Amino acid sequence: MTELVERRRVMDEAGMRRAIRRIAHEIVERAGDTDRLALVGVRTRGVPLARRLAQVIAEAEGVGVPVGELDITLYRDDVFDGLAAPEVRPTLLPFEVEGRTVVLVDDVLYTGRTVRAALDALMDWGRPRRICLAVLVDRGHRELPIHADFVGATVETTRDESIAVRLSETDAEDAVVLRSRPEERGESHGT
Amino acid sequence: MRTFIRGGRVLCPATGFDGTGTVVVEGDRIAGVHADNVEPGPEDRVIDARGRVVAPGFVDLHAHLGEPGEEHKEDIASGALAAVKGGFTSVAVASATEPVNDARAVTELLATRGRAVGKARILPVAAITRGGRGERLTEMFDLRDGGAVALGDGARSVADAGVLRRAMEYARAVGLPVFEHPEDARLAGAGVMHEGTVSTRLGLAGVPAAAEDVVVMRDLAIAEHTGARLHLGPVSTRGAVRALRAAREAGVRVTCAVSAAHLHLTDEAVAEAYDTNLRVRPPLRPAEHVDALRAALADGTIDAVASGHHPQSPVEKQVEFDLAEPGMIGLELALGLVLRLVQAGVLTLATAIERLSAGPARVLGLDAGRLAAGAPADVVVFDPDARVRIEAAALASRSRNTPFLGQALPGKVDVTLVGGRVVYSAESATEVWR
Amino acid sequence: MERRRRHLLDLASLPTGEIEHLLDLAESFTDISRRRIKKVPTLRGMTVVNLFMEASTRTRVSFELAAKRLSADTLNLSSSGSSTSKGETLLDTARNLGAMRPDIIVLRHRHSGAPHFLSRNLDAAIVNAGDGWHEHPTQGLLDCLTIRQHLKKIEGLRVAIIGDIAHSRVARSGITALSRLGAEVVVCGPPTMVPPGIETLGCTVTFDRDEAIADADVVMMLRIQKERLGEELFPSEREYARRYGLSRAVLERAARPDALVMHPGPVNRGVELDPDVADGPQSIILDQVANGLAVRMAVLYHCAGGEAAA
Repeated sequence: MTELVERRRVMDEAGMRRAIRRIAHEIVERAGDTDRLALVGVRTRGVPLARRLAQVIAEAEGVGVPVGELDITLYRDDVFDGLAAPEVRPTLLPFEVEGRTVVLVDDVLYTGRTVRAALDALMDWGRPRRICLAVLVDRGHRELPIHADFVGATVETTRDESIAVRLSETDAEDAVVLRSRPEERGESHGT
Repeated sequence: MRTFIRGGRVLCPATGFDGTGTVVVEGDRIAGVHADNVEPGPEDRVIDARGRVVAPGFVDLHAHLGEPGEEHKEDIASGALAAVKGGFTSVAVASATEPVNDARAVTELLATRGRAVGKARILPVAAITRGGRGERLTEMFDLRDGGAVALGDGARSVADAGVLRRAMEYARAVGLPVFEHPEDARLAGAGVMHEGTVSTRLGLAGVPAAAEDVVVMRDLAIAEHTGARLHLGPVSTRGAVRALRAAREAGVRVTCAVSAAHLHLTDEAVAEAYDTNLRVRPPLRPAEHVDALRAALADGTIDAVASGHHPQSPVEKQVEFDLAEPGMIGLELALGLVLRLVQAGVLTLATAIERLSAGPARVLGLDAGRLAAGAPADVVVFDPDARVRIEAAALASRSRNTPFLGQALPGKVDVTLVGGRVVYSAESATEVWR
Repeated sequence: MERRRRHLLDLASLPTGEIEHLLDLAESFTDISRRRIKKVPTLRGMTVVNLFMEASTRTRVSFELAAKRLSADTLNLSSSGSSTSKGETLLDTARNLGAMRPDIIVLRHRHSGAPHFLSRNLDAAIVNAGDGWHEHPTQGLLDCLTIRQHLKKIEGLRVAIIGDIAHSRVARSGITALSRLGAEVVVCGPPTMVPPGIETLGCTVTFDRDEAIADADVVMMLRIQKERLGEELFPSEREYARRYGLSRAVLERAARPDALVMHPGPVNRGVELDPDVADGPQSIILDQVANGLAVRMAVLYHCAGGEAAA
């Protein structure tokens, strides 16, 4: 596979901090009642994002919003398209889903297929009152009728390009970068 | 008309002849073996054996040819062709036919069919007990008169020592050797391979080496007691070899054969994929047993290499390992497998040929296995340096149950003569005139 | 790159890394059974055939439920009839099944090597659900998973496996997997039930039960098959229970107080295991059953994926 080259920084550390702070406030504002609120990160990078959101909310509102971790592998519509069955990590939802307002958190919203799988996965755990979607970056090119309720940044991309969200928890820095192949044409990449 | 086999390396362990020479055949006998060049007359046929070995035709002691009863696996026609293609000019056929060869009618059928086919000589081994059940003796004189060359219950030993004792005593008067396939049925139990580390790993029921050893030791004791001519085979264990050596030293009249595959394959082979072609009786043993067999073959404790030819169709083999019938074919493989031992330095070429010809002939008391004036003209001409790939489609045998498919074995039989007649000649054979 | 079928024929031929991967995978599958909707859509449209040529309700039900929880279509074929009408049974069955294009065939068979035979004659992925005395890979995996859950590791643990080792596929898979993952395995039974060379699988042997269970972190008891009485492997159930069975008194006297007790089931109560031990505080038998489901889901998922052809 061709190595992707970094083209441009979409968000730096400060930008990311601001975006997360803003999303957290919007969530609280929209939810009204934080008692029944829960944040569920979609593995992998949605999980640390959800934790950061929870932390901001805790600092601002003085309430602890529970955070869950959702692995959507078993719900993907392309699970066996690769040569081997992909890794499955546990789903951890340390709260009752029933009757809650659940905010799904992911790093990038692209085709919408991941969110579709996440919605199915979440519903199998119970019947939430409402599900919202928070993403750090919306890069367009939806293949399903799905939209995000809370967006950190909207970025114009082509299908050839890829958006990489790097988080200090997993990647040693906080940044969002746009990458593409060295030559102009190629298959689409991204999440 | 005479046949001159010229220009080859004439190798006859029985007479000690080893050198370039000419074998002259007249009628069904050998007229002479000459070290110098003998010119054929205008009426004579010439077989150009340059670059080849000219040896006495091979004698097989342990083969199943399917007929009568299991012609879907093999019959006398296909089996006798496979034999001469492998250099065998005489084949002793086990009594485990269907019906069992325990009556003169069956013995004569085999002999008659053999003559009608006209390839290898078919030598019936008749059962020593009725139905091969190990209970009541067969009519051994009648069987001998019908053409039987030995007496034995096929792929089993006589379980009851008392019955075996009487059988051996009686066989003395008949003058035929007693063939015992040494395996204690109770110790063997439901075993389908050698009992040891590999059977443990595979979860298959095993046949301990002791199942063979106890019968060998028992039979040797009874042979010593009765004075009968005992032949044990095919043997597969170190213990059998040890017991044989001791018995030989004590003067017991005993001979012994090993099947060619058992000189190469070990029980480890089964582990690869439960290949039912490796389900054989006796079972394939670990390397230490194989090494003992090789040494015993080299030093003469083991008299003969047999083909161990036991054809099975896919019906018997394309099943679970436990359910597979034992056996692998061997007539077209034995020479190659023995030559591998020559390449490996285990045997000299002369010893290898001896164990395929004069050795087994001696077991049967047969006038065969030597190239000398007056001897039957059973001769094989082969190229020891050629390599033959074992292909299913190229086998003369009706069955293909061998783990050696796709492998290349040394040695290629070019011409086989039985009773002075060319009964097999490879397409690429050195020219045969007239 | 071409996709190749991924079988699970035995643990002996499975790289240690894959054993660990399957255990991790199974761990991820344990939560599915705790959800409101105990089902994921992963194997939707796939067909899993449970071909049980030997009676085994427990294992079949476990595999069936595992397949259903992954949304596969399942088909159960049983024939406990002795397949002595040699040849045609398995090959014919295999060919008939093959015509229906199943994705995975789960095979339980009374003859060792039957799954290997099937894998050579069918296009489907083959999962061994127990073959003769050879292996029972999912049992070996679920045993490892259960131990790992309770003791947080396998490496360095001492595991005693007691009973009819010779005729046990559970023992072979267990020894293989546990020793590969770093456990110290000791097997124990009367010499008639300990096959030659079992050490090569990765264990030591003792004929003394108390020696086997002393210092053991886990004591795994195997089922005694009463039909083996006729083979003179042991003189009587009474003597077997006394010398090789596990009672409360033996456990308290010879084992560590925190030793865990396992059994693949079904238990011959009063023979290899006393009821008060089987149901006692040290028993984790029911966890084994629960983990069986997760392991089988993981295995089906793993095999459904295939792998890159070498």
